[in-house]
Amino acid sequence: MTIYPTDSCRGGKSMRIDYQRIRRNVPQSLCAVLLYATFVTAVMAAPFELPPLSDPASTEHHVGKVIWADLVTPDLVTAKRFYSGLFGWTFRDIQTADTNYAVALLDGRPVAGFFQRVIRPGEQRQPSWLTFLAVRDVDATKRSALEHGAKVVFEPKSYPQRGRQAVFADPEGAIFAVLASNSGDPPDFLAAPGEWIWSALLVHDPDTDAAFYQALFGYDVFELPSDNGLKHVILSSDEYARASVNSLPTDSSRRHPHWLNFVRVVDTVDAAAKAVALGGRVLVEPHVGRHGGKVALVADPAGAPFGLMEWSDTDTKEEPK
Amino acid sequence: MSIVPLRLTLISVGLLLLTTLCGCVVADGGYGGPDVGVTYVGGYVEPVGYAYGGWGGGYHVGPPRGDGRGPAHSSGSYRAETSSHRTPSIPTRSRGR
Repeated sequence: MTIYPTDSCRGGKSMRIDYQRIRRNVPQSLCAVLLYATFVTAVMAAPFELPPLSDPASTEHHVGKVIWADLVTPDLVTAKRFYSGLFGWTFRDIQTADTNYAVALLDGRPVAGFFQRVIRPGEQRQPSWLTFLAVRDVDATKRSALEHGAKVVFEPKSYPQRGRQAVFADPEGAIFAVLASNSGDPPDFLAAPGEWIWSALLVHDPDTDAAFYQALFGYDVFELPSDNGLKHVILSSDEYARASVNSLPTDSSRRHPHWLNFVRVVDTVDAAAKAVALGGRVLVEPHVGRHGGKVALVADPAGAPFGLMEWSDTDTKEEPK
Repeated sequence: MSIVPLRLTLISVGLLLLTTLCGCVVADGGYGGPDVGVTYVGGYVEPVGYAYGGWGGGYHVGPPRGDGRGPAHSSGSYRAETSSHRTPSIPTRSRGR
């Protein structure tokens, strides 16, 4: 059946609707729609794949080294804008039906992961950075962690390219993750500006917590002199300092044990000012640290705290053998 | 309707159902911890209400420069390195050097 409308909507020309042709094309159109739906569903149902930590793969393993950090944030767009503006990070999105994740890159090298997680009103939670320590065997580390008073926050899980990871709460409740990388651990280089350079664990009892981490990762432990009565303990492996364990400040009861990660910056004062301009805030004003460079603590626009640290390599000391 | 589009339609419907079914399978035992249902192991968020900062003068968190020495003994429950062992610093070798 062919219908010839008496009126037209375009320039007075008659528009012919060929219903027979439409009817003939229905099956093909249905096929196309279903194939498209199958494709979209396949993409959405694809397993969550994380890229390898080291590309090309490394043959090195550095148990106890901080090898990764994930930002858990409710607003991926704002977080990307902030860290991109502050450190020049670029991003590669990894999206599945129920996971929004982005890998932050600096000069093409992965430096961090951004995981979007909705924080519902009344949940009483705030965004944070999660610190990943290198292990060879996540399940063995889990058994050891439980024996030494830790709790499991996320059970071990494998990601084919990334490796196997799990999240624990140490005996004081500080949250950390372990990762057995399938592509080896990143080699020991001095962090470039924009890369993680240091990590600190702030706890009520550094002695006990240092013993816990020593049991898990086999760290050598050094205690540095302190002029304020607060502990400053260094955890090292492979003859490199990997992290510090510090007493929490005693000025407030509203302190809880946590890990802090520091990004190397060229100028801490400038970086802190830039963080504020980008919507963040300063938690600890820039001040000179033990190593001679300035250190500051800032929070991103969603409130996740992290550190800024200068490190001059003009006066580096002898390379460990 | 000819047989080819019909067959294509049936294959498409079958693929769609299979893909949807596969997407519902949770591999590796699912997820534990307080955030059950979060699909990425690492989606931890801190409790609110705590204070950060408050570092007074002399509060140091940074690494040593590698010129210090470890303590002769430790007051802690860990095994401390002896004084003959220098406190190490962070890696100093630059990428590409």
